[in-house]
Amino acid sequence: MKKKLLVVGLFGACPIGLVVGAWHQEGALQIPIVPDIPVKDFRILLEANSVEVEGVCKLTETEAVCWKPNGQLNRALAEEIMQNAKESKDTSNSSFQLRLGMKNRLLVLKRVGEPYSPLMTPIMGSALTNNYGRSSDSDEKWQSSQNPFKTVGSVRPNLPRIDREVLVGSFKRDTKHFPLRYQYTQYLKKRTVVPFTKGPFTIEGNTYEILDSSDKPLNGGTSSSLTAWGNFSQKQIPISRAYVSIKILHVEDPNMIVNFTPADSSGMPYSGLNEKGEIQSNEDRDKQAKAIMERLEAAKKSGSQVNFYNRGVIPEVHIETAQLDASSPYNVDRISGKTTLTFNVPLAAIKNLSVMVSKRTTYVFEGIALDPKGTR
Amino acid sequence: MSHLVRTRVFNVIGLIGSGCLVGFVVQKKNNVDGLPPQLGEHVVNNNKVEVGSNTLEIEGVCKLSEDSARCWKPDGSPHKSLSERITTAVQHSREGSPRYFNVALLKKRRILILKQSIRDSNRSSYGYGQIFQDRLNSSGFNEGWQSYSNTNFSASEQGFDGSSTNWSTIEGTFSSTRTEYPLRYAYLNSPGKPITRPFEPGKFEVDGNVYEIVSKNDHLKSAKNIPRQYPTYGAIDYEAEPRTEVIFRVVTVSNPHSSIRIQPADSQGKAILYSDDNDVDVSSEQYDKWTSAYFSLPQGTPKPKCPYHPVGSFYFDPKDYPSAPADQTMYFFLGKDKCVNMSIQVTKRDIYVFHKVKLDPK
Repeated sequence: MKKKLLVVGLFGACPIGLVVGAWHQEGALQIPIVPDIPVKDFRILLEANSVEVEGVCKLTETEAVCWKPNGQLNRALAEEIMQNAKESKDTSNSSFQLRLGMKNRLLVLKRVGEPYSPLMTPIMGSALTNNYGRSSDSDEKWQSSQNPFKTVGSVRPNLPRIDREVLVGSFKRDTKHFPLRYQYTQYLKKRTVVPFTKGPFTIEGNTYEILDSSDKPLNGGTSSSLTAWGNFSQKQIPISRAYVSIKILHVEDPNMIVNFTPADSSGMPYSGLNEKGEIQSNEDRDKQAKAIMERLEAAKKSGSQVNFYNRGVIPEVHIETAQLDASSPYNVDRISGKTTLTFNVPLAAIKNLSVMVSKRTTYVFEGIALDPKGTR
Repeated sequence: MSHLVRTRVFNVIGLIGSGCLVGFVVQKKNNVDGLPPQLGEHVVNNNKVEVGSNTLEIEGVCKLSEDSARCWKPDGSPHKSLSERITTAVQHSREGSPRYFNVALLKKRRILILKQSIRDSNRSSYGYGQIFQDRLNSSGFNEGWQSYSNTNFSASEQGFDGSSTNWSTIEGTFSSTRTEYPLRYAYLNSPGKPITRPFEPGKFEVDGNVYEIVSKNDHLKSAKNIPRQYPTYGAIDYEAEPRTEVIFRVVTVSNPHSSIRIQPADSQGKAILYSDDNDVDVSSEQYDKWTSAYFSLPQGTPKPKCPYHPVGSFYFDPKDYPSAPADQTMYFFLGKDKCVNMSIQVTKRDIYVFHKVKLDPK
């Protein structure tokens, strides 16, 4: 049984095609296949975020030769890489592992993100370096790499977050162009609450069912660690575990990733555990939220970086959020559609599940030139 | 005090491999890696030396690119056959398991092919050889040949007479202006039985180096900067506090290539490796029995705390003490009264220097 549906729409200026395929095995979970969105002019623009292929480089020990993704030379990028290598005190950021017998290239992505705000629902993007669900793993691929640029990892209020993602790829000698897939994940703004009872529920068109729950591993599975190291106290904190068996009944959009957080009877998600492994009180949580706001305000005034990683601002242990990605072969049994969610709170404390949905969009930069123009 | 204690370092205690406790000493100093042969080192003549039952020589040095290799002999003269052999390996590397090489911008990255010939592989030989690196924990650019190689080309040949020849790869990174660099090969062996001496304050000499136990006291729990418990290595969760604190002084170093390992020993001079929380000796057999039972536990079973722990040992390598006299504190996880003797195992290091290995072809 195989059904196909083609829906063509407009996404920004780019046409998208949605092909709904079917899992071939009878009775197996049906996962529609959504094709990647082709990128125009080697640049993706998504709300206040953008990512572009700045260049591709060939490296030797004496020089970097870089070109734009269309093959035109990009001397400025090459100079910047060499300048950074010159200023580097060691080789940690200027040494690259390449494959022998292959054409090796460095690819530089320039990413711009919206200024940080505590109320933002961030859009996270990264290059895809695996092909799972698409084709068999190939000898030719992009992989994450050392970043030869000075890192810009700080969070400064009111300023766009700019950084570079660097990949290294190895290709057959006669490969002239190669695509790069890039994925954005964006949280949808609304949070929904699902009662923690057995039965089905639907989120963004996809239907799930809570089958069972226990404070012991289900189906003879292995127990997660029952202790956790405290962030600050450096002592082990006892952790209660809750295991929830869930089944995916129907998938309308495989790019909707569901994130479950245990919540109280009002639907408010728990935020952390204290030193005793108990759920943090609302007062403590409010104190922490206030501390975050105060630090952000102070940073805004002084123009300095924001540092949240201090005691009093984050809890001893964070509440684990369980992610359910229907299209991930590592997450869900493709035949039965079942999976087990694990939480680090006592089972009895879970009254509801607070649900945030993140939407994944996959783009593809086609035709990235692996050699500069004018060369064979 | 007759001398100034110029350096005071704490040993950082960690568990290594078999579970023995080792003290690492970290001191900043200039390393000898790039220097000409030093006093006490053996200079290799004509690129060939006998070490133990091996004959060592440098087959060649190569510069790799993604599709070829250019190789030369240690004196810089071209080594055409090695270039051809390595280039063939490079070009065929994607058939089968992939091979990698490193490019370091504005640095020279080279591989060195070391040839080791064994006349008779059945002939037993004590000790082992390795690349000598003298730049542990130094920050910044670590120039030199390194013991770990990311790029590996290896080959071997067996003779009918029991002889064998092995070629292996050593990798190195060098500044762009460097034209030659020595290769130091260290051969380590522990020729004799451990020496036993009372674990009491006083000076003692081993292989020309003078050491001193300055004090041996109960470990005070209020002391700062001291490990309270063993770190968790592997799966076993030890919990123990140091019981004995020893101030150890390196008085003079006249033989930088004789190192010692100090282990607490009983009144008969037998080294104590493990104990329980009540300070009772635990044999290696008892300890191994417990650990093998531990690792046989089914997955998901709560992991019990180990009732035994290594008592700790202290390794002293004089090359880490360029500025003796220097004091160091040793911690043992065994009561002071149980540390009756010290069992001292001596390891000797012979260094063979292949001098002026060319980093570029003539």
